[in-house]
Amino acid sequence: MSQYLFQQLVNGLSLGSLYALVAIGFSMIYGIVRLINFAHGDLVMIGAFSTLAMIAVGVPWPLILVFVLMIGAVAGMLIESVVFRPIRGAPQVTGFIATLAVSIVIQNSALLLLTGQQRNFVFPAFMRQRVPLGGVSASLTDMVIICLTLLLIAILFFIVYRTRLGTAMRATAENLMAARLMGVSVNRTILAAFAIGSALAAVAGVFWGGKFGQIDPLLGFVPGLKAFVACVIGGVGSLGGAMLGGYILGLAEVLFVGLLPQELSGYRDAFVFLLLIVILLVKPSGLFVRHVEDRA
Amino acid sequence: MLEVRGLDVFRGATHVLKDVSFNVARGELAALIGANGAGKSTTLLTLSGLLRPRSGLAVMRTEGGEIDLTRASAERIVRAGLIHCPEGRQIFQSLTVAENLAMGAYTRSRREEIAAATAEVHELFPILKERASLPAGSLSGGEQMMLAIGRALLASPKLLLLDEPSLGLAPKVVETIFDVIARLKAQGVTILLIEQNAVMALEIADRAYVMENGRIVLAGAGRELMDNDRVRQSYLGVPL
Amino acid sequence: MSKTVPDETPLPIRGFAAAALVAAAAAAAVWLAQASLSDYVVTLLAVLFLNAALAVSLNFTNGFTGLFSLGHPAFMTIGAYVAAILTFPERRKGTMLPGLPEFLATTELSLLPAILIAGAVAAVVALIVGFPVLRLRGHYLAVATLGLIVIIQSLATNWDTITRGGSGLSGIPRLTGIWWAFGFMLVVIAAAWRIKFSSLGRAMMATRENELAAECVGIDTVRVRMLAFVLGAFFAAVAGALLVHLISVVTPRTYSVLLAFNLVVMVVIGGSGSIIGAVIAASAITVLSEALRPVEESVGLYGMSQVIVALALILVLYLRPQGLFGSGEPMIVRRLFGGDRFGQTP
Ligand SMILES: Nc1ncnc2c1ncn2[C@@H]1O[C@H](COP(=O)(O)OP(=O)(O)OP(=O)(O)O)[C@@H](O)[C@H]1O
Ligand SMILES: [Mg+2]
Repeated sequence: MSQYLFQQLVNGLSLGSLYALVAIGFSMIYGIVRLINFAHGDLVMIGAFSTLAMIAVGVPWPLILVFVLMIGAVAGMLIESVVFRPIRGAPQVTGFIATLAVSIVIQNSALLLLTGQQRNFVFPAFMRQRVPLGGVSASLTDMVIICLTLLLIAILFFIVYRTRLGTAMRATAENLMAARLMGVSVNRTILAAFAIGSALAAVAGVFWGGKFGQIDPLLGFVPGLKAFVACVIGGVGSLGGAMLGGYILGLAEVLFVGLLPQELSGYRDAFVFLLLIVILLVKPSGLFVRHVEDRA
Repeated sequence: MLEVRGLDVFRGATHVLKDVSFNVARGELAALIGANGAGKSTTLLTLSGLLRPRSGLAVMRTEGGEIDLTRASAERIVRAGLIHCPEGRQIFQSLTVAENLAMGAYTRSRREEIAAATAEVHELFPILKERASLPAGSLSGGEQMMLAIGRALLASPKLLLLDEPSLGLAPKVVETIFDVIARLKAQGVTILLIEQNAVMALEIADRAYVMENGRIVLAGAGRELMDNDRVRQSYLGVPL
Repeated sequence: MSKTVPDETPLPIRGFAAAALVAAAAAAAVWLAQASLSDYVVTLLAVLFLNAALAVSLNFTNGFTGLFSLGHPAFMTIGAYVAAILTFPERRKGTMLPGLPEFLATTELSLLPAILIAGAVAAVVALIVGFPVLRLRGHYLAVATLGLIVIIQSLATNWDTITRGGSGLSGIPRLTGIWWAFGFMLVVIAAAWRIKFSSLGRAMMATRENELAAECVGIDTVRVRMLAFVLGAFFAAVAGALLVHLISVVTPRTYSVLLAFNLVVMVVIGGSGSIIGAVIAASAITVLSEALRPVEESVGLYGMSQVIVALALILVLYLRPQGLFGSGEPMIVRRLFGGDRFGQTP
């Protein structure tokens, strides 16, 4: 394989990793409360900025990752219990508007605190070296992002498919009433879904900063929307689908920029949504794993 | 064991249960029969904490103590041993059969106990063991009903609420289900059974209640009600 | 005195007379305002009228038909660029937009045809986009229309020859004034009122309440949704066009997602589907954020007013999710202009 192609592949996979992390949490939350969480992308921003703060006070990197997971989880639980729980059971649109409002509050509070200026975000120097891989090489940052993402996804799948909590989460997602009759505390299960999903998004924020080198308070908007696109590609409500959708989207985006003439690369984000509309046009419902949209 | 006094329940603006009172004694099998829309399922949902009454009293007394069903959370009610096997089975279609049973045991933590209870259910319904790793949605209607009952049993019920367990099933399967109900009763489980199939229900019931338009209109021993003219006409299809 | 108004005549004679009277009174007020108040206040009033028109036009989808669209800024951007290019003085086009195709480089239209063309272009885009997107339920549509904003913004940023890229177009002739804004608002309100209390309006609301039932009584729900979406897009584009001829610049970021959010807030607070509600909420929010601006500037807390607006919305969702008027209109207004209780939430 040529160095150029390999480079693009690694780049696409690491970008896809970011999307997958955000999309999985997004899908998890959607699956359990049927809510498109608009504020989900903003957790990416929160993760990135808390990392910046921790770098500034000299927290070692492995601890940073752990703390970011915790910060994301706490933020997610806070949002769920303060804003979403009181309106649970309201029409879908109400929930959607509320998540939009939360997103606006988070973004503008961040603007208030941090101003809108771009800030440099640097991984430690050794991350910038290149790893030789039999004739070709890849950036260590990308490799670390890819591997850590796979690790996190493996842990997540273990939790969801092999533990009591995970079984309860899947049961609640499918049939809320029956889950309550089993003695499942729905509040706690939903809280757990928000915590896990948000933690993943926050970690994606660390990677986002490391990959692109600059962060600002509005950076969460685009990954939040793309997570939705990834979910649609892979089948809304399915975790495996969200993950696959994330990787497909990452690779497609890199391919788009890599293969088409330079002048078109500015249309990168437009391309993603055009893709969404095309998918919806060609297979408006076929891509959705779960057909039963409405739950009483 | 279960005492219900003057229960009034609204769903939306509809006054569904009106001043409902009844008792179920320990070890007893009580049947609640009535036409469609009478409010039977609503009664059970209220007892298991999913609906809240506007007024009235509902308590369950066990060795463990007394629990106010109108206030306690659904979770606490399950932990206290009141298990509701809902209308329409409501199994988790995307989970495997084994996972469904595990969900039944959600409030229990001792592994050996759960394993033993699972083995018991497997003995009662061998098909559930055969299909353990298949998604529950792939089971037939009868098998799904067995799974729903097995799932309820895994919670180790002290008081079991069964909402139309024979609905839409072939006569043979209905027989199996009723055999199991009789066995549970013999084991000392207190049962409140809702049935469309009034004959079978009244036959095995120690006590029965008839509900019409959200009110209990008749009460008595199972056999006794079978001889009641009104019941015979409305629910047993016997002309006067 | 008031008999029930027959459904076929949404605006009875009395209604027309009343409407004309109210419009005349309002026009007199506008004339007075224009004559006596500072330029700043007059411009603010014009913006307020345009916001009210935008909120009312968002009601076609989000209120009447129950389609949750966030696409208004996309259509406004389309309208703004199309109209600006059309009205731009021919002699300055050479320096500003040297790459413009011949037929555009030599046209210079006056405002009215320009905004009509702008509206038509947006309507065509809505028609094309609506085809796949309107089949989606609830939040799918919302995200797809947000995606449309991203697409349009990146077109505006990258299609340099037409749009001048990220720096946008400046020096757009200041052809709009308070009268244009006022007149446009009246047109939108009248159109919305007529539609709401017509059979089309009833079809829209039936589609909103229960799509299946609506189809059962013979309503072509696909067509109804499309009409609502296209109408909303048309008015949004005209409003977008008028606004840039007031502030005389347009960039790809002039109309952003934040604007979509604020319009949704107006509709929700006014009551989804309520025309008068949308007008009142739009006026209140425009005045409020303008009043907060000096406060923001003096304490250096930019973004504060937006946080307040969002928190206010969350509060409304908790306390009065149906908004000011539900989906109905206040009684006095119905008395005056006609219109039944249809759509009023019980
Ligand atoms: N979610 C709901 N909202 C409002 N009313 C409801 C709801 N569910 C049921 N009802 C009404 O409550 C009444 C009692 O319903 P319930 O399900 O308890 O009847 P049932 O006796 O179990 O009937 P069936 O034999 O058909 O199961 C009915 O009139 C029904 O229309
Ligand atoms: Mg029932």
